[in-house]
Amino acid sequence: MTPRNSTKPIRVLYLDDEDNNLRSFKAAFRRDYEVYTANNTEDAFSILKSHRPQVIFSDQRMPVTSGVEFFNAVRQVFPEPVRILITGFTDVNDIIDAINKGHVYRYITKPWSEAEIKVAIENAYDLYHTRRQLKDKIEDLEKTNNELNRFVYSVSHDLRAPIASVLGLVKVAGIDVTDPAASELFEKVDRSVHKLDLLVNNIIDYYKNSKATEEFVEVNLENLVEDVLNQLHSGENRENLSLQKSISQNARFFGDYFRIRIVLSHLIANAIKFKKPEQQTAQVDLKFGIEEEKVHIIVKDHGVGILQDHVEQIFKMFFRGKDQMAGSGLGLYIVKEALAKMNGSIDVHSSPGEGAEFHIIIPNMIGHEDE
Amino acid sequence: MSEYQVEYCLLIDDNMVDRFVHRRLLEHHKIARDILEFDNGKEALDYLAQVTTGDKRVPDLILLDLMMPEMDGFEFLKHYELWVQRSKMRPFLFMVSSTEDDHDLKRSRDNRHIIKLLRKPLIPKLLKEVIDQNSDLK
Repeated sequence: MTPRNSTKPIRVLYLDDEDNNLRSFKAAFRRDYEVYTANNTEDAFSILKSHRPQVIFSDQRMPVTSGVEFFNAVRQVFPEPVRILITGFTDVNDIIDAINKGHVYRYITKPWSEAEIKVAIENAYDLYHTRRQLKDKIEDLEKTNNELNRFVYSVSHDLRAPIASVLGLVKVAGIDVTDPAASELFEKVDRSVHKLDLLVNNIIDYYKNSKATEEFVEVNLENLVEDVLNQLHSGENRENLSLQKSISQNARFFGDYFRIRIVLSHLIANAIKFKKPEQQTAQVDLKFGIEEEKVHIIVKDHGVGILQDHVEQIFKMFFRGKDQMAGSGLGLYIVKEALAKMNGSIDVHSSPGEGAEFHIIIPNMIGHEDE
Repeated sequence: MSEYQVEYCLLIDDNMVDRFVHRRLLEHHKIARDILEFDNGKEALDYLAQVTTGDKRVPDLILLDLMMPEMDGFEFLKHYELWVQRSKMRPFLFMVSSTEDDHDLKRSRDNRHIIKLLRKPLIPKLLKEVIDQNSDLK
């Protein structure tokens, strides 16, 4: 099995300061391969540039530059061609060093035989071809992956507008519809569409977290809390929330504003979602401790709490504590991912009926802010 | 003493359903007594120009959609800025959008004409609160 396209011969470059060697090399292989020769590195580079050979041979002993030095220079500019050194037995240490450093794929000792060179060319080409295929595959996959992510993002983004319209219409129905049976139906529509909205929002957050690069800005805690409340999912709005905020700030606070917002939004949304059924509003204590080195945030709720069995699992993708709870199982997974990107950590203390207390630690990025 | 929070509101939104929803919510929650709708920013600007000359009624609240074809909300605000300078009027202006984009959030905070970016669907209670908080600024 040869991966080679039979209509196109393998392109081979041979560099040697002795013209006799070049002539005999060319005579021996020009029928099977596209052979280029050069007796100095300058010519060799211009051939590399114009003809893109896949396999390069070079003599080790040359007056100005050694073969190993030449290959090292080639590697910086043309990493793809496979490099083979032709040498006498005397340069063993140089060769071992060159192979170990990755400058050279293999070496052939003088005097070479035709068969030996042929096998070397075929093997080198196989390697070249395989590497090339792998590289193309990776590029392909990266491209597809990016496109897929972008597609999911733009679809989610576009979905939000009609979802918001439906939620608005249902609100108006809540005002204008007086028939009890119809009202009940609208309530069900409302719950279902809220679930859809939540899912779409989670997908958007997930995408943005995986995509966005870090941008460090000074975090204004007032703005942050306001944005968190504003971005709350419409079914979990501030009417159902009583938030106690406390701040102890001993340093300025720089961080990845967007990811910090995501983390807090999801934790507070959870606190609202998991309030005890008899509670009118979810009570959440939000504590910030800003130190020079790190920032400690505590989100404490007084809701139903988390079963001991579940504490380990809540940060997993698609994990859902109770099936009847609205949710995609993405929320806390996104929290964990966002914290991982910030080199932060999260811990939870909870027992059923006692509420849950999330402890977050993120590095304070003072001095890393963007220009 | 009016039972409505504001007298006259302009809705600028290309989406008919959202204009309908906002109109009903503003009426029901007694936020605005009278409401005029525009489906694009350009017509709203024409209207505002006539307000300056005294030919049209002065609005005291504007709800401006962000994503609109031809002229989006931020583009509208560039022209609006000139109108504010000329007319010396400052209605309450809120941007209303279904956007989830953090850049929009930042841009709206940096724009001095926007009191707040409100998410769709509109939460009337929140709009009321913010108008109250900002009443003394007028």
